[in-house]
Amino acid sequence: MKSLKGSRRAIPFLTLALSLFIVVALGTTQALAAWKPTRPIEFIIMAGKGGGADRIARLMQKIVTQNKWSPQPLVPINKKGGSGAEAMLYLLSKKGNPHVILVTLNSFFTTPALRKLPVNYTKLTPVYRLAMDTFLLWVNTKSGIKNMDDFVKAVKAKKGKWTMGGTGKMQEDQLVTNMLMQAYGLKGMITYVPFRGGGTVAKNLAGGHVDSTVNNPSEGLPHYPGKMRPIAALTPERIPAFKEVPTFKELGQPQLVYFMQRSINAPGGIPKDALNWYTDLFNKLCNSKEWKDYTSKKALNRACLSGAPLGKFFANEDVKHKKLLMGMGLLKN
Amino acid sequence: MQRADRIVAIGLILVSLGVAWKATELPVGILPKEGPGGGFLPFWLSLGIAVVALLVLLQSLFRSGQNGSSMVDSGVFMSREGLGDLLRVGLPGMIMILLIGIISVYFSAALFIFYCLFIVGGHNLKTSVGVSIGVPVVVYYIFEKFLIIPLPKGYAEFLFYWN
Amino acid sequence: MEILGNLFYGLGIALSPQNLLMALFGVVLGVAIGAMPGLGSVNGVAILLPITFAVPPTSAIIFLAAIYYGAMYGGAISSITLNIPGASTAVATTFDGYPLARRGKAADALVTAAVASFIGGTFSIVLFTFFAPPLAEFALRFGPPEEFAVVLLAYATFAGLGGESPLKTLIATMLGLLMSTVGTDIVSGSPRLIFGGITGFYHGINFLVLAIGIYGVGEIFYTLEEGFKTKERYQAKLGVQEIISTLKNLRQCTATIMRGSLLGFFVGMLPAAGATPASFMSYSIAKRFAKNPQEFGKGALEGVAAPECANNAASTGSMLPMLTLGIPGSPTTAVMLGALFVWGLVPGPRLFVENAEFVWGLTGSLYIANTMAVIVAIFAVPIFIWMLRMPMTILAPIILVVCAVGGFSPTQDMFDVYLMFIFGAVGYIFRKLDYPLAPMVLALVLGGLTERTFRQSMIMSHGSPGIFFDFAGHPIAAVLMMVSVVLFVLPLIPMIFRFRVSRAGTSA
Repeated sequence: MKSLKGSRRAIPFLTLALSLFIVVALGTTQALAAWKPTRPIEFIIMAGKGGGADRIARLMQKIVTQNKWSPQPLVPINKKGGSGAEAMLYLLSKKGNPHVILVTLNSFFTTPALRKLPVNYTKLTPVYRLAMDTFLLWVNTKSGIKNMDDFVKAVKAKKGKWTMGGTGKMQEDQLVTNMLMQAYGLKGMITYVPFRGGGTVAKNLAGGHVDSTVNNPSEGLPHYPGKMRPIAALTPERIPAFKEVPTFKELGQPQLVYFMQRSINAPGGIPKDALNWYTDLFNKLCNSKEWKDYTSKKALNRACLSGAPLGKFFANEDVKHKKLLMGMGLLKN
Repeated sequence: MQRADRIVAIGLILVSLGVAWKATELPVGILPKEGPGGGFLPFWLSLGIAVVALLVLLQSLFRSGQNGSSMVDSGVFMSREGLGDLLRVGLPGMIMILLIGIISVYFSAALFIFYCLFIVGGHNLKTSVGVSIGVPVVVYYIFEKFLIIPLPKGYAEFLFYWN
Repeated sequence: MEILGNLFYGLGIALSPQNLLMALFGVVLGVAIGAMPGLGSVNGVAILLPITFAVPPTSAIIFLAAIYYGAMYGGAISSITLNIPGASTAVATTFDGYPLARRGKAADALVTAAVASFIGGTFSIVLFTFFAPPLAEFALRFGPPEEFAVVLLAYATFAGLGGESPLKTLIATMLGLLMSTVGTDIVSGSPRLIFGGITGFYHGINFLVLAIGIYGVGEIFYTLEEGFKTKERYQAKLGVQEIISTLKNLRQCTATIMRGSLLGFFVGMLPAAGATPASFMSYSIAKRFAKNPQEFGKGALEGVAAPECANNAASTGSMLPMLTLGIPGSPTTAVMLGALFVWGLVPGPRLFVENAEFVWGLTGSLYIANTMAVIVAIFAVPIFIWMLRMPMTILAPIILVVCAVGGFSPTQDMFDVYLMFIFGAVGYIFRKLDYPLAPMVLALVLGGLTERTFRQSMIMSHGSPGIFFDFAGHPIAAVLMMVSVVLFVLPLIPMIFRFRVSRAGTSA
């Protein structure tokens, strides 16, 4: 009985709350001028906390916050599921929403192809490319391997028991491993061991649990030069931080070039003004002193690109990755 | 209680067989040179659960004649009053959760807390209104303003951003 | 003593007014965040990272480390008072902390937790200060087979701590493991058990969702049924006298705390393992060594002290590989490592030379933060006791709302909130039917690591399980495996014996 009486007494209160709600709703008519974010920007990261993409995202957050370039905060949100599938599907569901952006790695190309997702780069709005991360072939210093010839000999001597550590399967590191095997006729001689993150991969090489890795420079640096030795770089030119390390191009394998792109994407169909605002923001970021410092220290290629050339770059990368996957027999036409 | 035990055991068998079937999407065997495949662990685990749940079921049926020592064998699963109390808050709790995505976590929480305090708990109007407004306001300031974690706002989103 | 000189240098840095203030601020925030269901130290550190952008890296890492520390203390608070572990590291604290709270001894449990945490933390910091570089070398020797052996050891120490029915314990454990396989198969990269592409399953079942669901929401359901309106939750007293008497009682826990601290430091230091297995192992070892093992699970002070000293020791331990090797020993240090990169620092042996101010400033601040945390945590006890005195009709809806918010914020996905409430119902039914919940949670927390390290090892050995018993190639793994096997078999012997006896009894 008591509860009945109570609910009757509650009715006026509820009506009041509801009418307040409606009044406020009618009160908000927005005047649209040049676009500016009006609510926190969801900064989606297609990898877990603490990984490479996560670090880059949090660095960007730092630079934008310190310079007060955005009237609203960037909120990093990790959607790591399904090698980036979760993040990309999330952006698909946010079509037209200008308060969501995505920071990518190369699973941006491989995951939609492998998983037959209803989303790929064409369904999103390319905003800006900030950097291209580089790859090196590393071995443990104790192995005595000093150059590519030593490496090939050592792999062959192990008779198919050579191990290569890398992050995840069918992602960047395994693609690079496969390119290496093809170029040097080592097919079937290297076993690829997937780990969870680049830092763990490097540690397993430094501890002697795997024989080689294709870590990014920043991941290898903690163990360099004491425990890990770079043999060759997968870049067209030598990496400034590793002047003494030859490129595969110099070693007669010009096709062994591979980069990890770090770019920003927005959901499809966002207003033109919003795209302009973001392009401007990341242009400032890419040309900031902080970004230049970071990229040179971590041996990344700073690579600012936006607009139509970025779209073209994505298209090329997409084709390249599909070819790589087909070459591994993971993807059919 | 015994009946509930059996129902749960049967439920576990059905669910785990379903999961086992789903797990076969990835290789469930041992791959050469690689060890167990991606489906190995989920597949055999769910089969294992089904088998053990069957044992629990048989144990319960086998023991039905005797007086077991544990609470599960005797006693009632839930009293009528207990169920009533549970539903009186549990159901609105569920509604609160479903409303979060529609009218925002703040309004949904305010309504639910008010309902629990005023209607179920019999607290006075002042306390009820105070707590049901106070809690969402505190949550708002901690999460949105200090920690900068946007919480779900559903269709009420425009209320939180004026410009 | 060069190290002592460095330490004083570090303490000097840490005692500068700005750094002192950062440490205090961090500890207070950490305790609050740790006590909030859903926001453990990982999320706390990640979320508050932007605050550090305005200060130099040394102050920033002091702040983050203080949050990490504070959250470890705070996690115990919600475990004890509400039976909701705020982080996986505090699950084991619920086993005895909550029963103590129900008996009106919440204050004793909270004070014990704080003091045990302090001792564990300090112990670990001392080891950290003096032996960081050689210990880093040791940690480097842990690859997948060794990591798998450690995880197995965690299960082994925990075997025999299940419920009354071995069958139901087995089911609960397997269910936890099964849940850990949902999401993405780490080895093949394929989605797994996502049931036709439900996006919410892609990121797997988050530990927090299960823990808040079965403990937090399930507990509310349980209390509702017991009678919502009539009862106050429980009586709790706190005064200076209670604190003093608790401190006196703590002497009985000395051995437990010492064992737990040592164990916590070493397990925490191993990459990948971290504070959660450490706290579970410490709990079960304490039970094995205890004079009164039957008290465990019903409210033994040692049962609170053991996991708490271990998880704090482990949290310091996990900073060691982060600084010296650039690899995280726990999810939280993974985020802190990211911060290091944001500040432009490269971890590794060179950090100790090139950024001595940073390393020793952090080390010095750990001593200070730990001392601050124990004081803050004890001062916070009355606030939580006051909260517990609130009638259930006010407390229950607020807890449900906080659970919903806590389930949402880590992943920003409503699906997790729905899942959490389903787990609440399942947990409630399971508890009534004597299915033990702790093995399920432990299995979910460790499941991913178990499967991953096992399969990585198998790939490394080209499919041969011999890698785990290879005394020449992987001596650490082999020894740990032998210890686990022995620990698994030991509790089985009396069980088989008992089974025979009961069989004989019924047939007669």
